[in-house]
Amino acid sequence: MIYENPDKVKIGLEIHVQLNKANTKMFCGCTTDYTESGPNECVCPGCLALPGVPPVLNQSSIDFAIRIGLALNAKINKETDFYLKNYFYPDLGSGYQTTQFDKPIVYDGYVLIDGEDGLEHKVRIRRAHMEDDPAKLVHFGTIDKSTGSAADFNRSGMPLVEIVTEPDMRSPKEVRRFLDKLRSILEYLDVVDSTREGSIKADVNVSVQNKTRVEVKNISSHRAAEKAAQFEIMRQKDAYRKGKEVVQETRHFDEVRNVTVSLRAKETEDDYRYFPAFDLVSYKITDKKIQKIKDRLPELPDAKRERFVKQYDLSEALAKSLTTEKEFADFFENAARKTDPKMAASWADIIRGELNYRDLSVKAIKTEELIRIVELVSENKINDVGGVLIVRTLLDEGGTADQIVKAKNLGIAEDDETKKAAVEAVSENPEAVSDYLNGTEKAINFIVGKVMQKTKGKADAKTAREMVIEAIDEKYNGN
Amino acid sequence: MSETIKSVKEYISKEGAKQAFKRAENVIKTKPECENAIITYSNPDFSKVTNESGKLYGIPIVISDNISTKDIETTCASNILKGYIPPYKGDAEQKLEAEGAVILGKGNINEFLIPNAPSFIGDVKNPYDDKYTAGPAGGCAVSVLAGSVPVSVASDAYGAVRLSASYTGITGFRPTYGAISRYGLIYNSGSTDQVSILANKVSDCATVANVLGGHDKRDTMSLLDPLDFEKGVSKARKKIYDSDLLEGIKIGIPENFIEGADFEIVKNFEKAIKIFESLGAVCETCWFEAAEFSNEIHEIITAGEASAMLAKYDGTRFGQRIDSDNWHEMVAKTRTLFGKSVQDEIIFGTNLLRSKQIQKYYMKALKLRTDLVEEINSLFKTYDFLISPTTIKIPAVSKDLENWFLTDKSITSINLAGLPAISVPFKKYNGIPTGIQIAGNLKKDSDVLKTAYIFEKKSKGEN
Ligand SMILES: [Zn+2]
Repeated sequence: MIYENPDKVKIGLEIHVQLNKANTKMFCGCTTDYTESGPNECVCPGCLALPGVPPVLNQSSIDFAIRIGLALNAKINKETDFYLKNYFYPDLGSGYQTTQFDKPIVYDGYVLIDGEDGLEHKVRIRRAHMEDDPAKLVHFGTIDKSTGSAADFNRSGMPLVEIVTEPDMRSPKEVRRFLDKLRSILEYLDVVDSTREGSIKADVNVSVQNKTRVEVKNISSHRAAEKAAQFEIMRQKDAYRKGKEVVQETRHFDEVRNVTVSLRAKETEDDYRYFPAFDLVSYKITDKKIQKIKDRLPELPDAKRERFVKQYDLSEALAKSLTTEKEFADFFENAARKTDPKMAASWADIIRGELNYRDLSVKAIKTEELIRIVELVSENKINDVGGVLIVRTLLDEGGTADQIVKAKNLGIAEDDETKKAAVEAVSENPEAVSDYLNGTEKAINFIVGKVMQKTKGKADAKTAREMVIEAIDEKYNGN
Repeated sequence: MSETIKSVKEYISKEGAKQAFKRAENVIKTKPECENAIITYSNPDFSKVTNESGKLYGIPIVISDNISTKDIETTCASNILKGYIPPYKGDAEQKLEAEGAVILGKGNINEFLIPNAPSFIGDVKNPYDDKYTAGPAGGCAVSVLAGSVPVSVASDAYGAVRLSASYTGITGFRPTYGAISRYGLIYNSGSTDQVSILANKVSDCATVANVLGGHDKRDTMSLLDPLDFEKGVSKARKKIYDSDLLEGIKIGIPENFIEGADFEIVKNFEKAIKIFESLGAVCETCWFEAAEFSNEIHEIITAGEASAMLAKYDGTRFGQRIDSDNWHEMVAKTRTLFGKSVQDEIIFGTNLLRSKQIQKYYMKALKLRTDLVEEINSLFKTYDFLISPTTIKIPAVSKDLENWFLTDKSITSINLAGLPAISVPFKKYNGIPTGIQIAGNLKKDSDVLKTAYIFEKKSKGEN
């Protein structure tokens, strides 16, 4: 079934990605990891834009951009250069941003997502270019009563890649899926730590019925991007329905009220006076360099998913769930090498659910524990309920699988214990037994339930059932 | 070979570095022609001047005020930077100190070196006629001329070093673009500016250039291989130079460099040509077509770059600030602290870069610059050097500096191509010294210096 897109929704994104895994800032030697530092501690004369410091391009940020380009199935510009974008703002020390103009390092790529119609849907990447991040402003007081602002230059000079898509997304859900997929790819590439504040931000451009395009700027979460698109579509449709026009403008998304609000409309368009950055040489990228980076590219989510399906005989859905995060895929695969892969996969997926529920990363649990849980279950030492309990306890209280089995007495009841309980249950419930013998199959469940009660849930349900039937046979048929 | 430096060193060996410094300071503070020469004195700690084997041990040096010096106020001769004390050392300061030199102070210049922008503390007058200016790097030139310091390190933006050398009868050397690091150089036009040297003698320029040169990873434009300014000539050439002759050297004289020159200047220049010829060089005139627009190209490119580079002076982080209710207004007010000519330059550059006309002017200038570089490269296939009067004009009238324009193709075309060039003093015009410019091909700095040295020697007594 082809998705009709009745309202002709077109959504394009501009995504700003901080290359915060680069070893240094874009044009100086300062670190990009200032998460543990106080304000203005990771700065130098260069990123403070003091007079007299020429920029020196950090090569690794170029390599990162090429990696991103290759992972987005895009072309890499063999010759790329930088431009200066001029404007005054308190967070912009030098009074210009170094960015790219008509020769972005990356152009013409695509990302495949699950479309609204359930089919694979292609979102084209128009370009991705490099630029540097300005400082961060902190405002005190409220908008009405500001008591001042402060600038933190730790962020000044952070290398950024801005990825621009074509307006190929047809619904808020597709926006969310695209962003999830993109983040997954970027994390696989090890270019960004997306857990750091402001590391990935998006501008969402929305139009309906091929009419006015509205930009919603500076959205910092995938959920918010989805909500913003949702609201915009509704707002624009509503306007057209009422015979009103939609103004071409930039809007802001209010995450509390889930609405977009108009930013003060500008009377004139800004002229940023882009011109070639005379202090940086145009940069030639050889095929050899591209090939070298390509050779070192990690296996990306799509490829890994396909491999998991084939290699471990997993369903598409399960493989997809396991491969969204690289670290998680590694967590699973390390276990799969040492134990039954299919069981490891389903237990890994259970763990994933529990992690997500607690908003924990995979770092919270060791591969050894996954392996141990699979072993305990496959050796029939615990049942599935016990397994889930182990995972939850591990995450909530810590410890090892074995410790938890012992402490919580989760071990599956030994066969004689179950047998004993079954014999007792059969003698204690003659009515149910006679119902069963008279053909009411369901009555057996009642007796099994009693066995489970007696063993405090440790009995394996299947074994318990077998033993109840055995006990009935022994008692009534004299076998 | 470095002559003045040698004589200062001899003095230091007897009297000590501190005495030499005091003597230097005394000269500047007492000689009337040194009025306004220094914006800030350095007050050095002599316990840290310890490298006695350094090439410049104890030598007092003036650094122009648009080069960053740690803990010494650096203003670019602009009110907007008054009180700015850099927290870091520029490369020039680092290298000079490593060789034992002592910074005497910050030489006065035009505000941000812009040709028609007077320094905020006042222009430095020409010692030969105080009606005129001593040039855009006047404070640096005059402190050398007065005998306070043997050398001054300045920047040749807009030809400041060569013009000031020419106006004051000393030597000004601009190396190949990238041969000396720009780390610490507060440039408006990064693509045309270059750390340069003012000295009494050609040989002193070479000595100090060797101290300052070399690759610096803090400057993208820094040449990877260091140039040897003193001994970087080919074997065959060395043989010729060692005989103090220019036998077989081919010299081109771009006719359009001289166009519009006063009769007296042409006459002086012809005498200089005779000297080159007497040394065995072959001189012939040539036409440098692209230089016809070099002044305009230079003006557009430098203004465009300056409009961006001067944006950081917003009163937020350093320098002066005029407070206001909101940030944008504060910036607007603070930027009125730029002198009028600097403001005009920024407005001019800003307009040039407007998206509606950037193609028409700035981008076109970039294209023409490429053509110019190509043409000058081909000229250097025929000629070893290009010579001309350093400037064909007399200096600006000091009190009328704001109405002055840079119109020397000899200056602007060299800046645009980033070539090495030196201005050597030769004769006077109306009582004010004039200079001869010798320009060479890229990285032929040592050849330029050798040729200048031979010319200097031969023309001795003709100034
Ligand atoms: Zn820095």
